[in-house]
Amino acid sequence: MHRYLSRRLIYAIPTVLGTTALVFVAMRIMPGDMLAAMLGEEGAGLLSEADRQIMLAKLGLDRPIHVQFFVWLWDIVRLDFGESFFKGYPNAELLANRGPITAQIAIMSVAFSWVVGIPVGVLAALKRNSILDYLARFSTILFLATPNFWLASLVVLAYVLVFNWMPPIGVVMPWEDPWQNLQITIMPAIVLGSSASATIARLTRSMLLEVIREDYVRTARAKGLGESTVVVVHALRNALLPVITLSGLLMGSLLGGSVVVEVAFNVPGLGATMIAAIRERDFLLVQNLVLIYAFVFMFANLAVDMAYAWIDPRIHYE
Amino acid sequence: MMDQQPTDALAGLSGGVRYGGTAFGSAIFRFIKRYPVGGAMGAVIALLFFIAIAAPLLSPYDPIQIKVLDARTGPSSQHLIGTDYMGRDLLSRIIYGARVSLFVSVTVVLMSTVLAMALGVASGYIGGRFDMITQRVLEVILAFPGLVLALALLTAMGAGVIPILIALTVVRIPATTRVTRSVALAVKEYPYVEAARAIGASHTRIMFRHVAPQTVAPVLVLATASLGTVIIAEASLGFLGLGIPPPTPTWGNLLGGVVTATFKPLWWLVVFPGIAIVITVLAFNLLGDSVRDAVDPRLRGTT
Repeated sequence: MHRYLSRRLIYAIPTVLGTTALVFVAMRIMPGDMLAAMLGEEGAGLLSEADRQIMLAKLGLDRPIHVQFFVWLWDIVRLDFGESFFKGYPNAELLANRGPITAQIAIMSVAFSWVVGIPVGVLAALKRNSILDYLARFSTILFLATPNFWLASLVVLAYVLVFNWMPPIGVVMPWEDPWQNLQITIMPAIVLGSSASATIARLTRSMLLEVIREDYVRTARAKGLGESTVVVVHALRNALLPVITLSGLLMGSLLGGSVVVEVAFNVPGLGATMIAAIRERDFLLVQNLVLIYAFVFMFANLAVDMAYAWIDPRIHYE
Repeated sequence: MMDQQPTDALAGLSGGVRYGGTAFGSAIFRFIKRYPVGGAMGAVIALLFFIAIAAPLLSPYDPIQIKVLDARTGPSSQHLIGTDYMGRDLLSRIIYGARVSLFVSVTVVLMSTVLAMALGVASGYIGGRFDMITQRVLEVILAFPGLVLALALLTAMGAGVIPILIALTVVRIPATTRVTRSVALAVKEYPYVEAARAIGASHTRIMFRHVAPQTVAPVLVLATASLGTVIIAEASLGFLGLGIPPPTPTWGNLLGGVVTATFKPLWWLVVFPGIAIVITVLAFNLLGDSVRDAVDPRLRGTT
């Protein structure tokens, strides 16, 4: 296990470097120079040559491009994310402020997708071809076709029209005021987890239907165990392995989706920060945020692989 | 999904000429007969394409022209599903929005599929260092959540139709390439490929004539299933205000900022564009399910 983990980490190094390189290059293939992109052609044209040099130096853009890349890498390693160009405060502070709420919503939505998706899938498989099964399958198909930002908009619309709701103004951490924190995070988490729970319900149902046909399940039945014991204790365990893999795959759409859902609900998280930074053309902040999302995603996938090896003793990574 | 399935794998698609007419026509006919849901969804999609193409004839008003006097009117006999804050007819805007959604999703799926087939077949067949490098590059692309990578690329390229097409295509390439590569890896060991090489066929010819055709079935399944996903991705970018810039009406643009940016949102502006998206994506997804069952029953229920 340890050997597998260390090998995975070593294999991840080229990917991590490639990821940083891609982000760095993407932020520099823009037509024209970066100052013009940030300030607009007109704004950049108004700068005197001396001011131009000062601003370039402040952004670190006066150095050769490969030096810029390595300086940025070293900054990341030291967790120094520079400062916001337009607001002037350190980005690290901004990220520390905005990060927890995004993480909280993401974790809650994964939990939601399991808590709803698995029981629905199990029920649909147990009562196969019943009204319950058809209902579950119908809503699964429906949720998979519903964009999360629309679902979020509908929820906000209902809030506003029914409860005179106002979008949240600031971040409230769960340890400060759990009730108010929950009010901000619960609906975004549910909306974000809805399509994931549909996918999980679908896979749980089909995996369970497959596993139920196995010999060992028949043995369990034959020795007189109740149907629910057979399903929950014996069959579900094996049926859930692919569900774990799927959860890892779903992390990508979940992280991307969290950006959209945060904007839809006006939640001041990392995603909303990134969209604001893109609009304000604060490129260094965008660059760091994109990288953070990629790192979180890679780490989540690694964690899923480890969990997989831990749950299924048949799997040995050597 | 559907549980009553045929046993013969390719019956739905590779029908003979028994039903008369062309082989293709009879394949379609058999597909519809075996998969009525897929057939119905195909009809829905054909209708959507017709609406998109005939938008100027079908839409009751100009989708872009501002008429301040008609602003914020709810559904009425004049404006069936109401008007927006600038008095533009919502129905007309949704009809024109279908053009963007369908064009972007079909183009992105086509471009990424062709590129991924070329890349996957080449890297699976050639192998060695070329394969190693392409795989590492694709792993880097896969290391990003799709939407976040698309956002980064759009930031770099600026807004517009072409950047959207490029960003969404890049995001979709790795998954398809993995499939085509694995097929190519398996197929290149088959005796018939060996035979082709023995009689002197060039590598290029073998890749085009003998390996690439084997990837068509799995790629077809993946492509149909992706059409809906791409529509949602494009609409999400529009919703974030980073898609195709206004005044072009797109389904994502129509929903962007409607609820949070206004004090009292108008419900029809929120409800109807979303319904258009859901119907379209639903039709593509259900068609995709039927195509998957027709092409390979073993894949049934795996997604």
